Amino acid sequence: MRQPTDIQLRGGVLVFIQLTLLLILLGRLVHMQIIGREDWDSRSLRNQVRTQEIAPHRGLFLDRKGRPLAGNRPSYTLYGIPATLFKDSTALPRLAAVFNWEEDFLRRRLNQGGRHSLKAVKLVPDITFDQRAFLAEHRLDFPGLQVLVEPRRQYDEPIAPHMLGYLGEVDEKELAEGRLSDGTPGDLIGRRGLERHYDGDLRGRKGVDYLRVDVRGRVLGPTDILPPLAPRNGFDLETGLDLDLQRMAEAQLAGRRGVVLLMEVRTGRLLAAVSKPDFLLDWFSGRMPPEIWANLNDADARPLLNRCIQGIYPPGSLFKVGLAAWALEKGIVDENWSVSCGGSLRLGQRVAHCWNLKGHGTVNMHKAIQQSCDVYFYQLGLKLSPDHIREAASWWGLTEATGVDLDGEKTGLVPGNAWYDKRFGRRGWTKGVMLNLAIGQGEILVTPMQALRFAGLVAGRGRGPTPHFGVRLVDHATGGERVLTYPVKDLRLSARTWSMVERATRAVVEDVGGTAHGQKRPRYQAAGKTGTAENPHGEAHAWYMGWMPEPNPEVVSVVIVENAGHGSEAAAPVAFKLFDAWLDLKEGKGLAAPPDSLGTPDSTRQGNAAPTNSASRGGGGAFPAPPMVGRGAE
Amino acid sequence: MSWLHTLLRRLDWTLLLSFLALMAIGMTVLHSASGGQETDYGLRQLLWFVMGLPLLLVCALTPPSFWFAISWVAWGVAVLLLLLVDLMGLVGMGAERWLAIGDLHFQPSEIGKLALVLSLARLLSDNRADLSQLKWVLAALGLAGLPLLLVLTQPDLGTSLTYSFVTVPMLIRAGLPWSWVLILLSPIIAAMCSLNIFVLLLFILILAAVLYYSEAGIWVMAAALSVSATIGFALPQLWTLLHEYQQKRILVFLNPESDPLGAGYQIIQSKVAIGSGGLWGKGYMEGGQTQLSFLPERQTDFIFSVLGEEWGFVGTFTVVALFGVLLTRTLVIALKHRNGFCGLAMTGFASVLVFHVVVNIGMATGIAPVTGLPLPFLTYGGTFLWTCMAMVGLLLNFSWHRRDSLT
Repeated sequence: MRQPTDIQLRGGVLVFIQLTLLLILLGRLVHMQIIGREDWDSRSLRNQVRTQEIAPHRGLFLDRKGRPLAGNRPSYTLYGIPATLFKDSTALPRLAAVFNWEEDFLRRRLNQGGRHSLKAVKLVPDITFDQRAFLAEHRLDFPGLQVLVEPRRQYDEPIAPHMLGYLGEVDEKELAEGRLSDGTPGDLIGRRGLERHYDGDLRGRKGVDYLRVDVRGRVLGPTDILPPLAPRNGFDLETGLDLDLQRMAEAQLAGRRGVVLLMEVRTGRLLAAVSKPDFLLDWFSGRMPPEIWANLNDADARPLLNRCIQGIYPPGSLFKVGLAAWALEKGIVDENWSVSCGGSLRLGQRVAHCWNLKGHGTVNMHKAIQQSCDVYFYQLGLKLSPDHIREAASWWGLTEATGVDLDGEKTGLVPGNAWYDKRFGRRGWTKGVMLNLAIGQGEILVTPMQALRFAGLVAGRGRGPTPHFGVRLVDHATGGERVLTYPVKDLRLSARTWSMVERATRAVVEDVGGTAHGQKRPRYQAAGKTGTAENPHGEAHAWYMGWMPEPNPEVVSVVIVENAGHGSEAAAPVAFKLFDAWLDLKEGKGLAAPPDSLGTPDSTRQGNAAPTNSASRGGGGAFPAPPMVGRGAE
Repeated sequence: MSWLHTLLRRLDWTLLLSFLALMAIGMTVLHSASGGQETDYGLRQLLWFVMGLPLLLVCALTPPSFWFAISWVAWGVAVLLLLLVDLMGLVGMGAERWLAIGDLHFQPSEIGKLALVLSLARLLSDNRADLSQLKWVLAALGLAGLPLLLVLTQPDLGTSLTYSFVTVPMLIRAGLPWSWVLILLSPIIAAMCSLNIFVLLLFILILAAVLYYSEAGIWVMAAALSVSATIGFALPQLWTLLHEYQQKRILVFLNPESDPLGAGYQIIQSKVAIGSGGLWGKGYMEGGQTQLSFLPERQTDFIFSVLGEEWGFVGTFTVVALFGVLLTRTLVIALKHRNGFCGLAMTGFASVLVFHVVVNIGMATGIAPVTGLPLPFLTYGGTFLWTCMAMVGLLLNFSWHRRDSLT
């Protein structure tokens, strides 16, 4: 049994703790209400403070020479104060009726902010001059509404919409999850492309303004008790894109479907990246007409699809280079191993044709690559299993995502033995499967970005940096920067193998008989490989991967043009135009102006959508900002 | 008139009057806080109070033996209801705290407060209960731990903190060895020390020394030390693993003023309101912050700020003093109570109330995080008011029987 003194002590301790806690509260109250009274009182008298957020500028996208790819413009956004608007039950119906807005939407928005909240809630972005004028005139009829200027995206020319990506309003679930640390309904968040990938860096941080208001909620002016908290503008993203080359590349593909990629071999920086058909980013920055939205969801053209990372195609003959190098390195064949090509290979009942029905005669590895002889690779394929194909593909990064700094990258498919076992039964796959795989057809699929990684590894002789857009994030305010780094893939092959690959790919362009010899330029030497990807839905897709100048390549390109036939005819010329332009720029020559067709995306023509003014950082908000040459609404 | 004499002698007037005074102040302030709105919350609070009176009377007039008898059942029912809420929460995909029976909505976690106190009191007042034995300590912790976890998953941080806060004073009152008190508190202390490695090491050393001399078992000692060390050392590592926005959430929770647009908005407005009240206040219905609706949640979580603005230090001091009288009186009776069950239960109720008072007023004055715990007797709201009234009924009841040793 416990001692009475012990229980006394325990009770005493509890009473002591309880009284201490209450005394701390009293002490705090004495401090706030008696000692610090002057200070607090002045706050209260002059106060009736209302907080209002200040939107930061979203970071710009810059090309490699610092030219803006996307800027900001001032946008007039209508805000409403829930407590005030709900006080007058006719206010919302009147407002909705005047502008033909949905009353339910306005009500929901205000409720999200809290029925009794005095914090302004974003209601309608981008209101027109007429709407603004009306509201200014009828200010007294609509207490609790205010119009604030906010920066919003502006695009000077329709460039690389898939890569830059667009913004969308944050939804309630994302807000609840706290995806934005200072998010409120109506805020924009990166939805696609670089806007999405770098959202956290581009976004910046909101500032806060403390405003003095009177009993009716009218703003009297700033307060001096709490200094406004300036917003922190988002970081600019400096990309490796080159505006001139990008324009050029877009023009090359105008009216067609496909992808153009151009990358620096040493750094992995993408100089140009085009996916066609495309769309105008302005449609996503303002309000989108429904007929455009319907076009964008066209199931066939799929203009919203970023074909660079989401289009999957058979690699076709591009793969022959990778398979040959792998077979040589593994000792499956040596470079003198020869095959006689009579234009076809008979396999039991079936005849597999070479693309050249006349035949290539005696073909060794060099000639097989240069002239893209199918029969040579059929014969090689007969020595292999799908797992070999998969191993060869994995050497060149074709079995994994490239890790490019865009979200939503797909990886294609390179099936191995297990996949075929599952499909046809154990060892049930036929030799026909191997014939197809050996020439990059059949079930094997890659994205153009994966093909670029492959081409980059060949051009870099085994050293392949991750293809990427973002180079540096720059803090405009402080000048500070963060250099973005990416992993480098390293493929070590013997010098003999490299020598073979180099000579053969160069012969594709430089030597008579090469499939891209028609593109040979006197100014420089180039190397590459053409491809023609059979397509069950129609005309074959034309591929080209190439690099220049040989023997020390600096840029590498991958081009695919859908349903355009042979790579040598439809794809290689595009790549060489880019090579020419790249060299012109390097030698300090200007580029010829790209043709007019660039102005509007071919998928959906919309006459008045393309903006014309030059971009600059947005401004004109409630805080000091650099002057803005904006596309004013007036 | 001997019954009148008995009533006058035995009824705990101190408790009753301080309770009624707090209720009256609460309704007055609520009336002012609803200025300019259609609903008069002061009047509605009076309605809630009148409807709660039968409950209070039942709690006050049923003999303590009844409450002793039903304490296990009460615990079981509370846990079942909490489970039910959790399951409904799963179905409803959100934070569910309410159960609806017809038109009546109530929060099982409120019943849980009463049930937890009663069942712990019963366990710890058992004649065989020996808190120097590990199994009894674990039994007590289990009794509190299960409802605590259920409430935490709702998720309701404030209430689960209440549950854990209540348990320790009851264990102390029941004679838990002081070394064990230290062991129970050691994870919290270790967490606080984790900011500085030397302080942490010092604490672990002290803990080891105390445990060594207290002759705690080797396993208990090892467990306590390793738990403290793990928490102390792992916490900073865990912190770095969190996403930036998760870190920010915690920082804002601990210091709301770092987020002036969000959580800090209420705190800033509340502090301006209380501070500007000064010694005498701005006068009833005269508070600028309150009347202009700058103060959000002013009927519920921030009712104290309205009091502070309109009645000044005089008002806030009165309320805190009244709570002091009520709570000290409760603890003193709890201490002297001849019956272990009643004494422990009273300790528990006092702890529930003092925790709410300290956290709520601390929040309004900006020295405690925003947990959304209401202020007893003053905050508008049915379920919580009724819980408090039930507690007051039980306190009056047990105090009436303060010289009876048997239940």
